[in-house]
Amino acid sequence: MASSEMSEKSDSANSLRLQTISNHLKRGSNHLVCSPCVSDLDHGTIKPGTRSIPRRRENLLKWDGWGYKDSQFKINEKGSVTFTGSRYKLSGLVMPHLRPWMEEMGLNIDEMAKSEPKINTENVPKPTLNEDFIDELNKIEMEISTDPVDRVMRSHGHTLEELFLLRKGEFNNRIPDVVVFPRCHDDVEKLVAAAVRYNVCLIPIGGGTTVTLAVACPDNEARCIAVVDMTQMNKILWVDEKNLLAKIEAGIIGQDLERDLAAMGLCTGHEPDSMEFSSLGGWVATRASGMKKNVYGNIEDLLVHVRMVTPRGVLEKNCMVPRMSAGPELHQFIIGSEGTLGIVTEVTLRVRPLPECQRYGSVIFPSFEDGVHCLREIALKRCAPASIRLMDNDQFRFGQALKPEAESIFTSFMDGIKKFYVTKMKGYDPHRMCVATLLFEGDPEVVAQQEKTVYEIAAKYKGMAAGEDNGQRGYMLTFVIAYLRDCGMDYEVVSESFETSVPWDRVSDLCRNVKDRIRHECEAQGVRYPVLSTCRVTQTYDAGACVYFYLGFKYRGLADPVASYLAVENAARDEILESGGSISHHHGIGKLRKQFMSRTTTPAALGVVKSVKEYLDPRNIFGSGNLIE
Amino acid sequence: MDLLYNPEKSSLNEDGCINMLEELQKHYFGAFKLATKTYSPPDYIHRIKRHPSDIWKRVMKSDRIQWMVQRIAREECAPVESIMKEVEKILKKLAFTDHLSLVRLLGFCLVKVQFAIYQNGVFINTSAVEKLRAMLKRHPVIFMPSHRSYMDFLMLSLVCFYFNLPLPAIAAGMDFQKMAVVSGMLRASGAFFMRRSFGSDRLYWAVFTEYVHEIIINGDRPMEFFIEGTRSRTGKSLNPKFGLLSVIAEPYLKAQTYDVLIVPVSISYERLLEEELYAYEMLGVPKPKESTSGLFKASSILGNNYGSVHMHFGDAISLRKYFGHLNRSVHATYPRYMLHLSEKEQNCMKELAYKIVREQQKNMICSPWTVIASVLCLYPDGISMHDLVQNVLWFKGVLDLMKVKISWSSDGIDEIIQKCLHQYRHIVESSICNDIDSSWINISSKVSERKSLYTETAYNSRKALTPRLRDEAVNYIILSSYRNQLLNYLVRPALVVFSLDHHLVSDSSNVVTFFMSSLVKDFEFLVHLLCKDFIFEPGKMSHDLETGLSDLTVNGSIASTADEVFVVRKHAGRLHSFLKSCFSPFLIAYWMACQFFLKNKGSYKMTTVIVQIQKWIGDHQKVSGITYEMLSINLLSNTVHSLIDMKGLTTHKLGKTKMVEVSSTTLQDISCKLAKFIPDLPELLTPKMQPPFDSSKL
Repeated sequence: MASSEMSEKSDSANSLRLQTISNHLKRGSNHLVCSPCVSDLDHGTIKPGTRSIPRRRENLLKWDGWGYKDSQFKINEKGSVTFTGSRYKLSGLVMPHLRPWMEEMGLNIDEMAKSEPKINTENVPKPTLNEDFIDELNKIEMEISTDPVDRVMRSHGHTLEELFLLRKGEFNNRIPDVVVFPRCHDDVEKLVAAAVRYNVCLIPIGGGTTVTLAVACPDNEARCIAVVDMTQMNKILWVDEKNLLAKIEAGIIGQDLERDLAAMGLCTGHEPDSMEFSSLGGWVATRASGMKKNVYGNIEDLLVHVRMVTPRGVLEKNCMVPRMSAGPELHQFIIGSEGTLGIVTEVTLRVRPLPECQRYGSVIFPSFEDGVHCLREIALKRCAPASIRLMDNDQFRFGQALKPEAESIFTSFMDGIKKFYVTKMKGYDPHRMCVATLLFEGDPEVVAQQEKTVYEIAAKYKGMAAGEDNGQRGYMLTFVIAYLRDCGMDYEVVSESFETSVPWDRVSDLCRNVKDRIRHECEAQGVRYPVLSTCRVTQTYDAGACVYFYLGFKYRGLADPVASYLAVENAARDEILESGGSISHHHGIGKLRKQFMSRTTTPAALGVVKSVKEYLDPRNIFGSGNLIE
Repeated sequence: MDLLYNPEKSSLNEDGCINMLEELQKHYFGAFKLATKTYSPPDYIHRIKRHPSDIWKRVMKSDRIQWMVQRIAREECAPVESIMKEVEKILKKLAFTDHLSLVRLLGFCLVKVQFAIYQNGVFINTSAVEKLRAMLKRHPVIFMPSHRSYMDFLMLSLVCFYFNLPLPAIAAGMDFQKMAVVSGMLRASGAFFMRRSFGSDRLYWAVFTEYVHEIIINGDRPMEFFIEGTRSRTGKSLNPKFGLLSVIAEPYLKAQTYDVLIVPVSISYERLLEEELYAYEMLGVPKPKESTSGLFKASSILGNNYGSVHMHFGDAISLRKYFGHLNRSVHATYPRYMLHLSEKEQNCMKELAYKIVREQQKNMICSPWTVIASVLCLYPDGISMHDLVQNVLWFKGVLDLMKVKISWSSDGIDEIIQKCLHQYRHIVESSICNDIDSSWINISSKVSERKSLYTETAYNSRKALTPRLRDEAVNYIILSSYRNQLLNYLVRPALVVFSLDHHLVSDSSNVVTFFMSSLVKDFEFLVHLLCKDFIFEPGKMSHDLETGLSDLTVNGSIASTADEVFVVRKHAGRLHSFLKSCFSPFLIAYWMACQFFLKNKGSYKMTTVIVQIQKWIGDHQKVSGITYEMLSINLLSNTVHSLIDMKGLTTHKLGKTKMVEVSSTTLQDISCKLAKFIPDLPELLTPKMQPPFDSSKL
C-alpha cells in the first residue's frame, strides 16, 4: 500500500530529484566532505533500501556490549591498542598513546574481567505465557518468538548495570516472556487490543540503545510481558518534496533512514550519537536530540505528525500543519512518553535537501571558562554551526590519547611543532586548555561566512583555530567511545555517560561542581584508582546549553561495583539538580532517574502526567514503569 | 631562605599547641628569619591565578553590577557612565592589593612587637593547622575569628604566614583607611575596607557582595570576617551579624562553589592591649580616631607584658554539610545575581551565625586572672589575701567541673595569684603586709598615666559623666571586662538560679525541691531580657535551661530525683549566691533603666538616650547596690534595645532621627517582673550603705 502510493507521487518529482542528486554529486568533489565518522553511512557501498540490523540482531551486534561484533578496542600482539574491523575511520589503526593513558587510570592488562562467551540459554528465566493472548496473536498471524536468545536480546538497554549483569552471564528476575514483531500500524492496533483483552503487559523496543533502564522489565510484573520489537516496521511510506515531509514507520533505524533519504538527495539531519542503532520511534518516545540540531532542530522540531496506538485508541491529529493553536499540544504528550502511554507507529518528519557543503573545524581555548563564554556568544549571535561542542581539559587529553599512529615521520614532527607552538609560544597550559569541535553544514557561501564569524568570536576569547583533523576526530570519538566502555569493562572499569541542560550563567559552575562531587563520592565509596570525571558542552541554545558527562573508574577492591557506581551517579545527578541543571536533556527518565522526578517539578504537574496515563491506559498495559510511579 | 615551620620538629605543649614566638626565638634573628622565609602556601585547586586588580575589573563587568547600575540609572535617570565611575570609586577604596615584600616587612615589625609584649608566648593548635592546610586546597575557606582587639587580624595573618597558609583577605573596617602608610600596608597584606554600615546603599551593597563572591568563588585567598561585626569591648561575645554570613553563603546556595568552609577561630588574650581604651569608651569617651600618629603614641605599650595569646582554630563548618537539607535548586528559577533568600534559609543563617559564635566561645582559653577578677568584682572595698585565695580556689573548682578552659600554670595557686596581682598592678593594689595572708587587696583608684591618648576636648565633648567619675569608675570597668569572659559560661546556670527562687517547694523534712517546668517562664523572661548581653541561640530556650540545670548538677548544688524534679542541696547556697552576685549588676542596670524611663516618661532621641541614662545612674552612684560597671554604655545600650524588643519601649522616626518612646504599662510590668529577681533593690533615695555582695552569705 505504502510503496505504491510512493511511486505514484514520486513520478512527478522524479526529474527534479535526479537533478538535485547530480548537482550535489558534481559539487561534491569540491565541497562535500562525506561524513565518515558513522560506520558505513554515505560510503555508498550499501545500497539504499538495505536494512542494516537483521531480525536476529545477535548475528551482527554484540549481545553483551555496544555495536558491531567485529568492532572493538583490543590490545594487539605488540601491546598497543587497536580498533578492529573495517567499519569506522579508526578501524584497523593503532593508537599508541591509548595504553599509557589507560595505565594512568590504573588499568593493568593482567587484571581482566572477561565477559561470558555467549548467552547461556539454560539460565534464562522461564517465560510466563498468557495462552489466550498467544492464541489470539497466532490467529491474526502476528510473528512472535519465545526463543530465549530473542527474549534476552530485547530485555535490556545499554545502562551500565544491565551490561554488567549480562557480562556476568546473569539476567534480571523478569525478562520479556514473548517477543512480538508487528509489520504495520494495523498490526499494532490488533496487538494492543489483544493485550487489553487478555491483560498482558506491553513494552515497545526499537534499537534498544536506552541508557535509563527504559526497556527493562519491572521486577514485580506478574503478568505476561510481551516486548514489541518495532524494527520490522521500517519503511519510508512516502516522501512529499513539495512540503518537504516524509512519513516513516517508527521502527526504522537511524542510519537506514538517512541512507534512503540521501539517495533522494534529502536528509532529516537528526543525528543522535546512537543513530547507527537507534530507531525513529525511540527518538520520539525519549524526546531525542540530534548533534546537528542547530540546523535541523531536535525531534520535537522535526516532528509534524505522529500516530500512537494506546489502549484507549489511536492518538493523532487530523491535519499535517507546521503549527496550530487548539489547546495544549498533543504531540508534546506523545514525545517523551517513554512507552508508558502507547506505541508510536508512524511519524511524519520534516526533511531537508542534503547540505551541499560540510566542513569540520576546531578551536583550542586556554581554559574551559573561555570556551563557555565563546559558545555563549556564538549562541547569542545565532551563528552556531550545525554542531559545536566544547570538551574540557580531561576530554581533550583523552582525545589526544586516541590519536592514531602518525602516518609519517613528517606528521609526527609537525605534531611536535604544533604542540610546542601552542604550549610554549602561546602559553596555553596543557592542564587547562580545551578544545571546541565544529561541524558546518549548508551552502558553501553560508558555511564560509559562518566559519569566518565563528573564528572571529573565538579569537575574542583567546581561541585559536586548530584545524579540521582535530574537529573530525572529535566527532569520530562520539561513535567509538561506546566501544571503549566495553574495553574498559574487560579491564575492571565501570563507566557511563549522562547529560543535563543548564542556563548559560551556570554552565561552568555546574560542570565544576558535578566533577568535584563525582570525585568526592568516589572517594567516599572507596575507589582506589584515578577517577575519570569529565564533561563537554554538546549543544547550545539561546538560553542555555546541554552538558554531557563521562564518569569512569577501576573498581578493583570494591565489594559491589555497580552499587558504588550507582551511588556516584546519583550523587552527580543530585549535584546537577542542586546546581540548577535539568534531570535530563535527551536521555529521558526511564527507571534510572525516576527517583528524581519529584524534585524537578510540583506534585500538581506530576499529577497531570499521571492523569493522562490513567485515562489512556487505566489497566497499565504499557507497564514498563518508566517516568513516574 | 627556608620554610622555618616544620611540623615534625616543633615542640608541642600538653594542649597540642606550639608557641610560635618561642619557636622563632630558637633561631638567631628570628624576626628576620621569618620575614625572609620561603613562602609557598597551598592553592585552592580551582583557583585561576590573577592579579588583585583583575578581581575588581571582573566585578565591574559582573552581571550583578551591570544589573544594579542599569536599574539605578533607570530609576534615578542618571547616566550609566557616572554610576560606573561610582562603582569604580567604591571598588578602589575597597580592594586589597598583594605585595609580598610589604607583608614581609609588616611581619618583621609585628614579630618584633610581639616579642616585646607577649612575653608568655603565642600559642597555636597545630593539629588543626595541618587539617586546614589540606582543606584549603579543596574548598574556599572563611576564617571567622573572635574579635577583641585590633591585634586579631594582624595575628591571624602572621600565623598564616608563619605556617605557610595563604594570607587571608580581611574584611576590615573603613576606620583604618585614614591611617596613612598603615592602611597601605594592611591593604598590601590583604585587608579590604568596608563601610561599617551600608544598609540602604544598594550600589555599595552590590559592589561589596560581588567583590566578596569573586574572591570566594575563585578562591584567590581565604577570607576573614568578624561575625561579631566589631571588637567586643566588654569581654563577652557579641551577638552575630547575619548580613555578612548571607553574603558568604550565597555562592554555595546558588551553586557557584562546591562548598564553603567556615573556620571559627578563637583568639584569647591574657591581657588586652585596648583594655583601658575600651573602659573609657564604655564611660563615654569617644574612641580615638585611628591614626598613624596615634599608633606611635600607643607605642608606649611596648614596655608592658601582655602575657600570652592563644589562637585556636576550631573545626571547620562545611556549608555543604550544614545546609545539606536545603534544596538549592529553589534558586534555579531566577537570575543568580539577585539575592533572594527564603525564610527557611535566613533562619538557617541565623542558627549558623550563633553556632559560629558558640564555637568561638567554646575554644576560648581564659587566664587565671579572669577568675581572680571575678572574685575581686564582688568585693569593691577590697578583700584579704587569705579570702581571695580561698574564693579563687573554690571558684576554680566550680569552673573545672564545668570544663571551662583556663590556662592554669603548674605553679601553686598562691604564686599564680601573686603573679597576676603584679601583672595587673595598674588596676589592683595590695597593701604590703608582713603576713601575706592578711594583706589587703583592693581596686586601685589611681588613674593610668596613659591619659595622653584622650585629649581634653574628648573629655568635655559630651556633658555626660564628669571626668572624675570616669576616672573612679575606669578600673572597675576594666576588672568587670575580665570577669565577663567567664560569664559566657556561667550565664545559663545563673539564670536557672535566679528563676528557681520563686518555685521552691519544701516538704516536712526540709527537703527543697522544684519542677523543671515551673522555671520555664522565669527563665524565658530572663533569657529574653539578657539576650543582647549574652549569646542565646534563638529557639534553643529549653536546651539552654537543660544546660543550666546540668551545670548546676555537675557542681552538686542540685540533683535530679525523678522526671523533671530537682532537689536543692543543702550546701547550694554558696554557689547560688555567688552566681547571683555575678549577674545582679546586669539585672540592676536593666531595672535602673526601667526606673529612668518610668520616672521621665516622654520621648528621647535614640542617639542620646543612652548617655542620659548613664548620667542618671552616675548621679545615683552613692545608692546602695549601684556599682560603677552599670555605667557601661554597652550594657545600657543593650538594655535599651532589649526593652525595645520586649515592647517596653517603642521606636518611631521623627524626620530622620530615631526616637524612643516609653510604653508605660508594659515597661512597668517588665520592671516589676525584674524586681522580683533582685534580692536587694537599690533604694533610690537612700545613700549607699553596704556593698551589693553580702560576703556573709558565702
